[in-house]
Amino acid sequence: MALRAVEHIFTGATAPYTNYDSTKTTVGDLIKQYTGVGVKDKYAGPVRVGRDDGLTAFYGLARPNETATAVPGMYPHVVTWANKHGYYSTGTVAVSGTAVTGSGTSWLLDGVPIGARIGFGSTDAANITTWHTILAIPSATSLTLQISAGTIASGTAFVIDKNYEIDWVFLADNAAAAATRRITLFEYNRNDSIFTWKGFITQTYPVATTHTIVGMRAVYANYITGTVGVATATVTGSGTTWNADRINIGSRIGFGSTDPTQIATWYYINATGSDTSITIQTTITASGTGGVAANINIAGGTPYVIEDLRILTSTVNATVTNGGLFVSAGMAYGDFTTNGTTIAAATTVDRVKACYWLADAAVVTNDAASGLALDDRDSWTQQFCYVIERQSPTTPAIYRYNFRVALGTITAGRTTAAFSLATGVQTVTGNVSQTNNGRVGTLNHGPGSGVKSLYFATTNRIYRVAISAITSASTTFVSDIMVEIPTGGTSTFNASAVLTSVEIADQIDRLIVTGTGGGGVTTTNRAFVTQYNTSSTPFDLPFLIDHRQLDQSSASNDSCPTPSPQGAILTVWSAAGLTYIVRSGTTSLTNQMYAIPLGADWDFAGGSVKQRLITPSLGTADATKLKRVTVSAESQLGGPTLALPTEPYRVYYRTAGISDDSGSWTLVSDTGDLSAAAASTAVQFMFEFRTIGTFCLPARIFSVSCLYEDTTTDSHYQPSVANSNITTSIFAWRFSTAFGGTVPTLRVRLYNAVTGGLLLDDVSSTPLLGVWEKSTNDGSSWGAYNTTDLSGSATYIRYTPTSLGSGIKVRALLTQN
Amino acid sequence: MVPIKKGQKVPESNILFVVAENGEYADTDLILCGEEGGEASGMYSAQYIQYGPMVYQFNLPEELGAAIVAIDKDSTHDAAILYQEDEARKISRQKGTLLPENGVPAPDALVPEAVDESKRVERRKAKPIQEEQIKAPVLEEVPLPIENPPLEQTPSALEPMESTEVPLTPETQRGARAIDVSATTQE
Repeated sequence: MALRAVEHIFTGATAPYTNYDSTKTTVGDLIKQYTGVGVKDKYAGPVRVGRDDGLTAFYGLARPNETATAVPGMYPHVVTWANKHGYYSTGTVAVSGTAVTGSGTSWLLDGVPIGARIGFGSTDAANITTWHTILAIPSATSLTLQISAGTIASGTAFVIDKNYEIDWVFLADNAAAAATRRITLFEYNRNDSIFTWKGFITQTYPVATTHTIVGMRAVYANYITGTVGVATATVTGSGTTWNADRINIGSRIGFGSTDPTQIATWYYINATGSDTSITIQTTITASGTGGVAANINIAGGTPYVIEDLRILTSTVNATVTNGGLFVSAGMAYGDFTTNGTTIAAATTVDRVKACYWLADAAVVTNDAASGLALDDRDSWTQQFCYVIERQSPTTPAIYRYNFRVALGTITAGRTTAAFSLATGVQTVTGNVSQTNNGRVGTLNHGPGSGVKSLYFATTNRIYRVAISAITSASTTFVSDIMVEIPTGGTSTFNASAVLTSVEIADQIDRLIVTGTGGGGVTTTNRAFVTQYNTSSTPFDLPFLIDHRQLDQSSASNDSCPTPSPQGAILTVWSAAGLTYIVRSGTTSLTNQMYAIPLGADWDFAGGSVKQRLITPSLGTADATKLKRVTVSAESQLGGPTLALPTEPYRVYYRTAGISDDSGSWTLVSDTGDLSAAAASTAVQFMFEFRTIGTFCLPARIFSVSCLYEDTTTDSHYQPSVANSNITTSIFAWRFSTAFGGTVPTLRVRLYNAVTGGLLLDDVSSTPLLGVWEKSTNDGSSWGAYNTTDLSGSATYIRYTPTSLGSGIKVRALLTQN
Repeated sequence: MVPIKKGQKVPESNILFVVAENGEYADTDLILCGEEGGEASGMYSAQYIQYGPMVYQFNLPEELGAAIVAIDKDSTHDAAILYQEDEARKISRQKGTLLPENGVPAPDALVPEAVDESKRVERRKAKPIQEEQIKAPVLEEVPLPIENPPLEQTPSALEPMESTEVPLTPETQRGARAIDVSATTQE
């Protein structure tokens, strides 16, 4: 056998797990393959965090207090705006400049987004060398490219790489309390891990005393009911109920598709006439009116989409009865500008672009709000949110509001129509947190399994309240309680008693628990991922550590940003496996946002969304023995003096069931030893990653190699002519390379060199057809064979068959068994 | 204070105008605005109507004050006054007419001249406010922010950062004044 190797470098085509293809690299949706100019820019792994190798770019990092208009941010809330994966290659195309004409195509129906890439000449993405970005999708058979692709004849194959993943990340203003509050929008691209600051709005509250935001949610929904036609600026609906469904002035509307990612030109609603009539303008304005009237014509029956975006904030106020719940209605993506758009306080008119005060009473009693939690939308006129009222630190009540209801009588921007009910107070253990406290969700484990519940934090407990238990005046709404016991128990980490928030990590069915980051040696300053339990079982996993590194832009170019508390409160939102963590300080020193793929952690990699990296099938033709897998990976990120280690990863292999993904996987030890593997014509490797770690810097895999022995002489031996003898049929080999331990069982096969027929097959452990011998003095003398490893250059082995026919040309093959 | 005139154009809008009465308003007083001849459709801070969106682009009142004074040197906006007072203090220090705060004069130091505060007072008085203007209701329920002067709460970027060594959870009790989260998280 000769020692051979097969290598895979992480370049080339990928396929999502749902479209497994053994010829491509398979990735979960939080696993990416990256490319770039440098050798170390080509790697695969979980959504990247930290820095690039050239120390020129940051990944998964935003600095809200260092944008052109510095707005210290906190309380992230995320809208997953685009979440497209996979490829589309049905039909053929012709190209003329930027115009692509399809035949047999249906890219609108398939969900191809604007911003996706198209390549021509093949249906296989691996064969595409030049990609073109799609600028618009006018119809199922026409595309517009951003840049001319020249002229391509009709009937040409094509492939569209649909990967396009954009999150809108909203942050609440954490600057000194003021009569107005700003809401910031960052866009996060999951494919390149880059945050882009879009801008901010300034909400003018209907009460001008100073507000401090204690809870924030950006509520986004697409209205696609019915179809429309447009004549100049008037949109006429068929099957639409815009008034009844309370569509707001200011919302943006697009035509030709119900998918916002396919809309190239947006318009803005500036008047809501009836259920079937609205008017639109082409420009976005702060008031929602007064823009340039649209002048377009679109045939009736056209699909459309209205993006309904509202900003909910709960505040406490310098004048306590001026706090409570507020909603800015009629918001649109374009309102978030670098100079800021100022949203007016509402007056008496419903459904305009303004900030409304959803008071619970004429004199507000929800005056010590502690956060905000959002329930699912039941209809366009009903969606509840919950505001925990902290009447004293240990006596919360819960207020419920329907923020989609008709607002009825509005006086100076204030209405009580949205108030639904309030519970009584119930005493809890620990002080109720007032930092974005409260999260509605349904866990699939533990006492709250399958029960939609409100989870909230006190300083040393996590409470669960079944939504059904939130009833008027109830004083027994708490369903059950989880006690703060850090991972490993309180003899390993002190319980902090400074918990501040609990968030549901959606893809992994776990809670994320964070604290203030404050405190001295008695507190852990760590965060936790855990199941919800009421059995005083410790939290499952700790992550992060307070390393006190400053991640402001003026930090050393060698440093690698990574989340840590630094004495500031960490506020968190999790969406589709990605966790947005904001260090909620008020200065550039302590106000950063990170995007961490906690959902890709190896503990959950085999869940419903398989977060794994799988190589293509790697050929091992003629392999007789798999020997070892070696992985080339980034071990640390940052410059030499301040680099931080990446988190570990696991490697699995399989040699069967590769083509149809049916084979089971075997974990490889850290030695990379594959000696237990059954050799086959191919091998495949799979990686799982730790992402819930100390620094949360996921590993980056450059390449993987498999060493194996093939059907030529074993690499540890060399045929010896001097010690072989044709006459006496002795076959000898020099022991040339040590095994590093006990010599494994050897196997000798004698073939008829002319016909290829096998004459003899025997092994060293239990020889049946001949005699194995060993010499340690260059063949001067021979003794009994043993499995002692090589100790010098004079070691030989030989095999003498008991009988072998004469007159045969023999080829001897020595391999491991 | 900010002078507002009825019919004054609202920044960033082609169609909105002030419908509230003329007056000298507190910076954050809400001013009714609407389309010409129409009903009031929104309320904006007086400072925004006077100076536009830049009033929301600064976190420190000194910075906002500098920006306002750059376009309106006679402004009586609180931040502008704060800035001008600060500037006057700096100039006085440079001239040796005002000791640094808490400074201990050297034995041979010249006796500093008193700062002429009357000028500042004069500037505040430059635009007398009519009683009826003060009473002109913008919103009846808008209380004056006297309990919590925002400028006093604003942290200074020049102050050294300290880590928060005591576990902090912002707390607000019913009936008590809200505690600013930003203050508790500031290092």
